[in-house]
Amino acid sequence: MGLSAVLYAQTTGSAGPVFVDDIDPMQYPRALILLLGAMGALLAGKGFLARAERTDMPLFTRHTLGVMAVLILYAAFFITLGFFITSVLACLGIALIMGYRRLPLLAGASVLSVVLIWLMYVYILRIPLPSGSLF
Amino acid sequence: MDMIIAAFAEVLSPVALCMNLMGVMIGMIIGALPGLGSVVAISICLPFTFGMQPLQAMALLLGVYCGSNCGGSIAAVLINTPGTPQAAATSIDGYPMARMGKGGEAIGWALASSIFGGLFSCVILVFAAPTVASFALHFGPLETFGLILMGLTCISSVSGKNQLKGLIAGILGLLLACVGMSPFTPDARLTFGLYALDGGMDTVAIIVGVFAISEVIDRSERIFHEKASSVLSIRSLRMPPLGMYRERMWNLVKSSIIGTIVGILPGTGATTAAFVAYGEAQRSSPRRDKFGTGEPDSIIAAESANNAVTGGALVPSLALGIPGDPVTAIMLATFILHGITPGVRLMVDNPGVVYGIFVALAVANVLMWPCCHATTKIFNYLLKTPEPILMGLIAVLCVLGSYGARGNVNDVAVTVGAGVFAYMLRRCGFPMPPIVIGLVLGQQFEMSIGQMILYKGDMPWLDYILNSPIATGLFIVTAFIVCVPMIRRLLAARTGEAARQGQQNS
Repeated sequence: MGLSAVLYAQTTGSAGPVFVDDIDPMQYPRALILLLGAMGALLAGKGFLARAERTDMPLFTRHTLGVMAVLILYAAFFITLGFFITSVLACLGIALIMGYRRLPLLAGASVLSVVLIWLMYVYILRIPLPSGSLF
Repeated sequence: MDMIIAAFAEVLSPVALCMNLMGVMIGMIIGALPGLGSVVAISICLPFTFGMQPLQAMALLLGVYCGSNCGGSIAAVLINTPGTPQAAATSIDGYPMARMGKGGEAIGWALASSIFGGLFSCVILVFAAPTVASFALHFGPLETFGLILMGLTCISSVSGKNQLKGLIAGILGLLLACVGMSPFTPDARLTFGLYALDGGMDTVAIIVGVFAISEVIDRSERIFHEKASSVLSIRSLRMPPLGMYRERMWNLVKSSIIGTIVGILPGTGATTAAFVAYGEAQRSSPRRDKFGTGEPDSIIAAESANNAVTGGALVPSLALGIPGDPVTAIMLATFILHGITPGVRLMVDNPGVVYGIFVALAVANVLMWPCCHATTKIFNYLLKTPEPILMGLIAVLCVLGSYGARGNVNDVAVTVGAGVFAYMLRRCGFPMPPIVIGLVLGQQFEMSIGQMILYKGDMPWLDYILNSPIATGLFIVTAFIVCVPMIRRLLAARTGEAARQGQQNS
């Protein structure tokens, strides 16, 4: 419901159709947002009536939050630091968070895999990858 | 008949056969990489065709087309990451099968269904190309709307017990498809003032985030709660025994028909075909209750339909010169590069090339069998890697897949954002496939609604709908698909209640 309120606010700034026969560009998303809000309200109502469900693990733990942080940093520095450094660091970070502790094997596997992926993209698939400001 | 025999001789010549085989292998490997779909695969191979004979060039590209369509299912089954958007429906039951230790069987079903669907559409292509192509010309906005509406009904079938959450996820997918410029006016919508979002969000970036990145985040905690490692491994690809096809044959044929028809219609594509066929199989299969838990029927429906699109999409391209999707547009460009003009005169002026294409497509489908064995073996080596390292590599491949599709760094942010959001949704019990269905069909859905309103003018809605027998038929089928499960549930509830009362009375 909160999401639909935020999204609905986004659709209110439009000036509407220019000509009488034009289609209002916000009409369709607005209808979807209202439907989303109504469904959300229905879900909330059902939630109040139903018994609380117990889940086997919490939504956020230090592991999930850690992996999310690694992924966000990976995306943020992908261009600045380049593909190679960010990818190796992301591989190492995720594996370490998931409890892998054989560091020499992990470092070797991460570097080798990233080099292979880089060679495949750049030389075989001919897709240029960001090299970063360090190189 | 002489033409077909001559085409076989030409396609089975060593060079053309080699090109076809190479195309299937390249397509399969690229298709298996998350984010890189058929268009990327064909674009990569296009420059290599400049020095080739027309038929050799088409053999290579058709091989890539079929291979990439099938390759996406390998990643979908083994790592729950659809290599291509059309494989998203395959992962719904393919991945649960792999988790039960039946990954080889799941890929076997996917391969066998892909081959059947591809060959089926080839036969249609050979015998009915001109007739069927003219039928496709009757598809206006109303008919397209009817078809997409039918596709959207499968949101209900992939939502399982969480119908309300499935609908919410489907609406979220439709809203994601709205982000960016309106298709009718130069207005940016739902962009939060970010110019980077004016061009919309890439479908591939969102799909990769929703399925793969959310899986990586989920596994990062689950690995500490599960005793045995869940890294999947398969000894080899296992083709299902022939006896098992008997009860599934109708599903296979029906899904291939759906795939071929959807392929013929311009602007729809393999993803729509896969989900429409999935929805239909879920409605009619005697094993519908097992859908989502590892039921081969759903893999059969999705894979046979998405590969049947290959032949279907070539029908309007060859017979009318109208490309149905970006892949066939590239193929038509290849024709022009080789001095062949596509269109209604193509079959009259260059019958040898046209029949050669029919045969090359059929041969490419057969070649998928050895190529899929080889690709599965490569993937099997990858899966022997310890899970934490594998998850890191999957994250890297996902980010690269979303970046490589358009070379846009914003897509990387979209992938990660979609992954984090999807993780929260799936932990709250929201099913993921409806998001993808809404996202994939959303743009066409909105476009057809707008066009329909403009075309209709002042005519009453009922008259407008009844004027089109195709659209009326599609709406009736859609109503049937929506109502039958509801009636079935009501009847089951009544029967259960009557049985309970009977027990109490006795």
